[in-house]
Amino acid sequence: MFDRMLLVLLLIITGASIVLVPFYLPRGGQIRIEVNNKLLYKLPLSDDKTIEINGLTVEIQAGKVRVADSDCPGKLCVKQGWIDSGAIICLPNRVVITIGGTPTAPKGGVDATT
Amino acid sequence: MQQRDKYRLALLAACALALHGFERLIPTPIPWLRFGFANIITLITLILYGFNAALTITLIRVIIGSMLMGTFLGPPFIMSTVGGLFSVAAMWVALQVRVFGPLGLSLTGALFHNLGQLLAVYVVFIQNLRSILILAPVILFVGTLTGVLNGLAVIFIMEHLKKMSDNVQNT
Repeated sequence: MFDRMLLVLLLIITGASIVLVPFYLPRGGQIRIEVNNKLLYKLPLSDDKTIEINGLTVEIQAGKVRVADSDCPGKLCVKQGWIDSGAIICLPNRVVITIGGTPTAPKGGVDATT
Repeated sequence: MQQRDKYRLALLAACALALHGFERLIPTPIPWLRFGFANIITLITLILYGFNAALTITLIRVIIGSMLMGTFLGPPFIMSTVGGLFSVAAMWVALQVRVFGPLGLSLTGALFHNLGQLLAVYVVFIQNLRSILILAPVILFVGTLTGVLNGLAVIFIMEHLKKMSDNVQNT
């Protein structure tokens, strides 16, 4: 029967794509910049950009991020240089820059009343 | 369309609405997962009365259903509508091809309902292809499972309807 063929086909395709799609999507994804524990920016790592925030100059370039300049005393964040995973944290300015792997699922995208 | 058929369509629409509302009461592991039982009615209507009737019933269900839930013209309404239209159109095309039974039709309907919804989500709400690509396979997989469930229900109901009409003709 064609019905069963369709069923098997759909199960295989969707089942396989659950595993394969996240695997083939570009990794790294998003940069989150938090100030005082508040999420201020959520940017794709793929777009080159420079942001001034709370005394810090944050640069995103070629899938990497760094703090180019800071007005804090230690400048540990600047010394850390370019990163493509993990986090840069500037305590004096209370700025946290993290690179998240998986994007958050769209909230309310598909919900109970559809 | 005959007067009798109009009554039948009204009844079918009421059934679809009831199922549409009722399935919200069934707890599911993921909040946005629904069974789509109303598609049972849509599919039966499509097989018995054709495309226009099925389209009518879907629109009645979506519009009145969303009014009852208080989501009329809201995001869930847009998604219901797009999903419903997609699934009716897809099932009608699948019916014309004449290779699928109720199970295959139900699967087609479920698949295109979800595709339509994902499209609506992407166009209207979030232009984040990445999240949608990650979410899509899961939704389509679950949709396939509920599609089987609904397809079996349609087969069951159609057989009973056939038996009933056979009995009427014999007596």
